[in-house]
Order: sequence, then structure tokens, then C-alpha cells
Amino acid sequence: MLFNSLTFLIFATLFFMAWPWMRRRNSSRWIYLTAASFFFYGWWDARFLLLIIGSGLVNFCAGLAMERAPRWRKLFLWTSIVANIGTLALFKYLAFLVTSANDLIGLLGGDGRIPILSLTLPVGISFYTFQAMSYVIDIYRGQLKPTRNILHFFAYLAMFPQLVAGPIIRAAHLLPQLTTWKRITEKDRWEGLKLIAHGFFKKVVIADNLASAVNHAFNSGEVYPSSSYWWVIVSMFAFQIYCDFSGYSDIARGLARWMGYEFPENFNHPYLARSFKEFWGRWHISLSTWFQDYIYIPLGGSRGGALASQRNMWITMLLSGLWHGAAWSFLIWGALHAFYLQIERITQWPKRLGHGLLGRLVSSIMMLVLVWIAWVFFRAESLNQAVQIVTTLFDFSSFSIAGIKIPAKIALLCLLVAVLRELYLYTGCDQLIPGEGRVRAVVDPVAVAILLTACVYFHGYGHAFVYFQF
Amino acid sequence: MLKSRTTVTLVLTVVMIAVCGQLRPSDGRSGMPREQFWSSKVEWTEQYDMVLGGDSRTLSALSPEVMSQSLPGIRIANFAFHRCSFAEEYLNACESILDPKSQQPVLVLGITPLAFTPLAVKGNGFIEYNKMRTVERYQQIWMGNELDYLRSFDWGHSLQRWFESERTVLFRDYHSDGWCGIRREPDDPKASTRDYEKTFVDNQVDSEIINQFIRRVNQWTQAGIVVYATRLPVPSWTLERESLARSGFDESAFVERFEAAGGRWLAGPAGEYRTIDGSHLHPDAAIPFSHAFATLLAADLAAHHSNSNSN
Repeated sequence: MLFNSLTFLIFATLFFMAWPWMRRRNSSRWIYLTAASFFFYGWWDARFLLLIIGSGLVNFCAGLAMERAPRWRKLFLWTSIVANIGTLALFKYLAFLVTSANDLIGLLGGDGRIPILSLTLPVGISFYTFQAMSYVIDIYRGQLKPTRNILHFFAYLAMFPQLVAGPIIRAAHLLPQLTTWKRITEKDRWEGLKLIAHGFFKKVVIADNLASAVNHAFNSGEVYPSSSYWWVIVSMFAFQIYCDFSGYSDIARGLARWMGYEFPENFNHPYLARSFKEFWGRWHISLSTWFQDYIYIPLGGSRGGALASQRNMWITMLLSGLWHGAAWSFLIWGALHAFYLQIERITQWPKRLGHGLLGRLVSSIMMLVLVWIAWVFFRAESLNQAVQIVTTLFDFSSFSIAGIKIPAKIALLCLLVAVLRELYLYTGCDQLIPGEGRVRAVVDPVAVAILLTACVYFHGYGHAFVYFQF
Repeated sequence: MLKSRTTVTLVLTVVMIAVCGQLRPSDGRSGMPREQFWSSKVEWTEQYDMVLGGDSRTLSALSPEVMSQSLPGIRIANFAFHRCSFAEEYLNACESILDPKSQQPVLVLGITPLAFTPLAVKGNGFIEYNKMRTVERYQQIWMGNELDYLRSFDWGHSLQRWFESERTVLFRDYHSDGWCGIRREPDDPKASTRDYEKTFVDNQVDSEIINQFIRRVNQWTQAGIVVYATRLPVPSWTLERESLARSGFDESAFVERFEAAGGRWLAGPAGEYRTIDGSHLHPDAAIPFSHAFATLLAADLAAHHSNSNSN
């Protein structure tokens, strides 16, 4: 069920009505949380439940087995990794691999074709698979003791706020929280409400209104021949995906806060980064740190010389691209970011440019331009369309934005709101009214109430969260 | 205040939502809430003697309430949808809402070339609502008024009225019998010609969709359902845009095959009827058209019955 649906509102209301009593003991807490989360997940498609339960059982058992038979730790680790990756490969990558193989056969002049088995992609599989793998790997590394209670494990793995679109929570962070009871304070409720309000505003007002214009432009089948038009559309997409995804993360964090748990921040104003290293420290932080800890560093990280470091970085970024989707466009998106990081490492251009106000402005603009170009490949319907759009972006012979209809004008307004909001929060304008004084006691509730009301009356046409497709 | 900030905020939110709902500018809708209208339609069960099927032209042209004045005792439903094609799923649904115990089940299908094109199959309004989860549809049916109160402001409608020089605005009036009266201010009888310039480019009438339709008509007539088809009235320039040369739709060949399959082609009542855009009847025209059409239909049904009885 989508967060922005009446069904979820009813579900969440019922959940939180009983939560204060159910959370008092470990056993009831875990049973209730697991049952609610399975209900939430099964609502999408009951068949998906079998998969998450199966995946969870494999990882839970692997964790216990590693503790009980440490001699065979490596075997259990690799068994669970193969099971996890295998499941992901089957549901997410098989069709892509087979299609690519068939294309290659065709290119080489062959007649035969491998039949394509098309499977429904279970919602959230990329997220909970990575979460499960981090559990097993941390146990193998001795950084975590496995839980002996399967409900405790499933409460962690399947917790509904973050199940289908992250953030990817490390077991070491959440498992201990699930074993402790702490009073949920008014501060928790308030911080949670603010996160939920901001999250919904970003998703249903900004992202969904931007989506209509973006989808119309990309799905129309033709590339409107205007540079400025596409700069506007790509900017809209950049904020659509940011607000959609960070909005979901904020809602997840807010709901967790209401439950009494803390999820780490997943986005930290990424478009204000002045280098790609900084960008990847601000964008989808839970995924980038996952790749850093479980791919980049085990490959050797920055050790082993410049060449090895670059190789490790390229592998990590290509895998990151592929994680987002089974298509060449996502691989190219990952490759572009790898290329950007490589150039940055070699030339150190952000450091060289980033002196003074002008230098910082130039490096910020360069960052945005390069990130925007990469987003074209992420969003385009085909490689061909992506190339056409990038070419048009830099064809400054046409600046026309004629023919932008009303829905796109609304999207323009939402883009402006999104940009201003980022600047407002990043520059600390929201802290201009000090601390916990009387003025804030009035302004804050009114501001949050306005955000929530805007979510009801200014939401765009309901689009699923973009990251559900991953 | 700080100790109950969350509660205060939530209460304030509820108040704001209630107030804003009252202050919402008009967005041109009346009658049933839109989502309730469409969701209810999809959930109709086998309870009708006569089902009117087709796309938005049928949706706006035929009022079951008016038709029943000429067809007393016959339960009529307008089962047309926006952008509807005669895909198998839709034809099944048309049949499914006929009462199997009906003395004389009748299907009346409004034919447009567009309904036989791949584009219509792809973006089918019926299929869009049929794909919704049943729970979500029933939320709309049971809580339609409440959910409608909370619907988003129609920015496009408001912005058009305030800023666009042409100020073309659509008004829709949703009725529980499935008819939707559509008004446009101001009328633009040539609007559809601009749309139809591109509609049939790379989107010609598909013979396989027609073949499938004819097979279905044959099955229905074999099962004792009386199947009518008709072209709803449109101006000459729209007819030209939908001609064989432009759309690939050969009406005379279609009528021949339709009647060979047991269907009854009904030429509509004579006369010019006002359209809002060259395609959809204005409600002021739909009322007399529905009446005239139902009169013709009643006469033909009576003739059909007497022929059947004498045979």
C-alpha cells in the first residue's frame, strides 16, 4: 500500500492505536511489528511474502550457523550471499541478461533466441536483500552477534516504514533498538510529525506535480527541439526523483520516530554538493555507505595504488547503477558518475575551483550540470532518446519554451518551491526564529499544519514512489 | 503548549483542511463525485436490460434516464468510458452487467473509428479503473463524498479561468445511471478537428480489433442478446477526419459484417445536434437526442420482437 493512500492511513491509525501496549514487551513488540509489516507487504501481492520470508529464513539461519560453527563461517556466508544475489538476479536481472544475450546473438548474425522468462519484480526486493546481506556480512566480520529470535530478526528486516524503499538500515543500528523500551516523548512525536509532513509535501506536492510534466516530455516519443525546454524538464526530473525518494525516506523516519526508533538520515541536500565525493556523501546515504562498506572497501578501497583504487571505484559505481535497474541506461548512469569521480580524483577540480564565492558558485553549477546530464540517462525511455536529449541540451540555437501547457506551468511553480525550500533549509533560514521560544511555539505548528493541508489540496496526480521500481 | 505541540498541530491541520475544503474554488464538476462515478460503474453487477457501450462520445450523448421515457420498464445503463476501446476485457464487462434473467437483453454500442485503434486499446479508460484494487474502488463508492471533499484543487482549471485568454473550461455533470453531461465554455466545434489531425497518424483502425469485435457480436446474437450499433451524430468536418482515407475505417464494410453477424445497425435520428467540440454532444443536445434515439430504438425493438414471434 502506498503511504499516500487512504488504505495506509487506516492501517497506520490502527497500528499506532495498539502500538503503545504492544511495544511494552519484546515478544509482543516483535510479533506485532512483524505481523503488521507482513500485512503491509502482502497487501502489494501476497506472493511476495513467500519471498521475503524465504530470504529472511536463509539469512537468519546463516547468521546462527556462523556463530555455532565458526569453522564453516565462510561457507555459510557465501551460501547466503549466493541465495540473496541469486534471488535478485532471477527476479530483477534475468530478463535483462537474456534480452542482452539475444541482442548479441542477433548482432553476431545468429538466428536462435533464448526464451525470456518475465517475472513480476517484487516491491522492495533490492532494499531488503541488501539489508539482509549486511546482517550476515556483519556477523561474519564479528561486528554483530546474530539474534536468536526469528521474530526479532523479521521485525528488523521487514519493518514496514523502510521495507519497500529504504533507507537500508544496518542491523547493528536497529536490532538493539528493537530490544529496548524507551518512552516515546513529545519531542519524538513532534520530530516524527515534522518529518512526515515534510516527506509528504516533497512527495505528493512537489514530486507528483513535477512527474506529470516530466512524464509527458519523456513519454511523448519525440524530443522537443529546444535546449531551454529540456534544461527545465531535466531540472524537474532532478527534483522529482530527489523529492520523491527523500520524501519517502522522511516519512519512513517519521513513522519510525513515532514508534520510538531512530533511522539515520538518507539525504542531506545533495544538490548543494560542490564535488562528486560530497554528492555521494549526501545522496541516498544508506546505499552509498552500503556499497562503500561491502563492495568498495573489501575490493581494496583506496589501498593498492591509484590504478587499483580507480578500478574499485568503477566496479562500485557500475554495480550501484545496476542496482537501480536492469537496463543499459542505468549502467551508463553509474559509469558517468564513475567517470566524474575519476576526473575529480585526478584533477582535484573542486578544490582548485572552490576558493572564494565565485569559485564555489562555479563548482556548484558545474556539479549540477554534470549530475543533470547523468539523470537524462537515468530517466530516458531509451539510450537513443537520452543521446538526443543531451545533444539538444547543448544545442543553444533554440531557446523556445513555447507550447508549455498549464500542467507544466504548475510543475514550474513546484520546481521553484523545491529549489527555494532547499536553499531555505540549507542556509538555516528556518533557524532564524530562535529555539523553543513563544514565537516558534506558534509558528512551527502553523507551518506544519500548512504543509499537511497543502498535501491534501495541492497534491499531484498520484504516482507510485519512483524507487519502488528498484 | 510545547508539551502538546503535536496534538495542537494535528487539530489545527484538521481545522485547516475543513476550512480549505469549504473555500475550494469551483472546478466545473457537479453531480456525483468523479471517482465515485467511475468506480461505481466498474462495480455494476448484472442488473440491466439494456447496456449502452462505447467511448466518451457515447458517455456524453446518451442519457438512460431520458431514454427510459421511451423505453418504459427497461433498466438502462450508460457503460461508456473515456478513451474506451472495444477490447475484449471491455466487451466482457458490457455483457456482464446485463441481467441474465432479462426478458430481452440489449447491447447498444456507439461506434467510433478511434475505438478500433491500438492507441485506444493502450489507454483504455475502463481498463484503467478496472485495474484498481477492489478495496480502493469501494473506498470511492462508500466514501465518495468525503473523499471528494478532500480532492486536490484543480489548479489547471483555476489557472485557465484566471490567466488563459481563451479561457476554455470543461464542466462535467456525473449521473448515477452512467451518463456524463459535458459542457465547454465557450463551445469550440472545431476543437476535435485539431485533435484528430494527429490521432490517426501511425494509429490506424486495426482489422484484428474489428475481427474480434465481430466475433463477439456473433456470440452475443447466438446467445439471444440483441446487439445494436450506431454512429453518434458529429459535424461533417469530424466525419471527414474519421473517413476511410484518414482512419482506415470502412463504415459500409463494417456495417455489412456487423449485420451478417446478427447485429442491427441503427442509423441515428436525423437532424443537427450541437457539439461542444465537434465530437461530444452538448447536454442540451444530448437530452433530445437521447429521446429521439430511444424512440427509434423502441420501434426497432418492437419490430424485431414481432419478427421473432412470427418466426
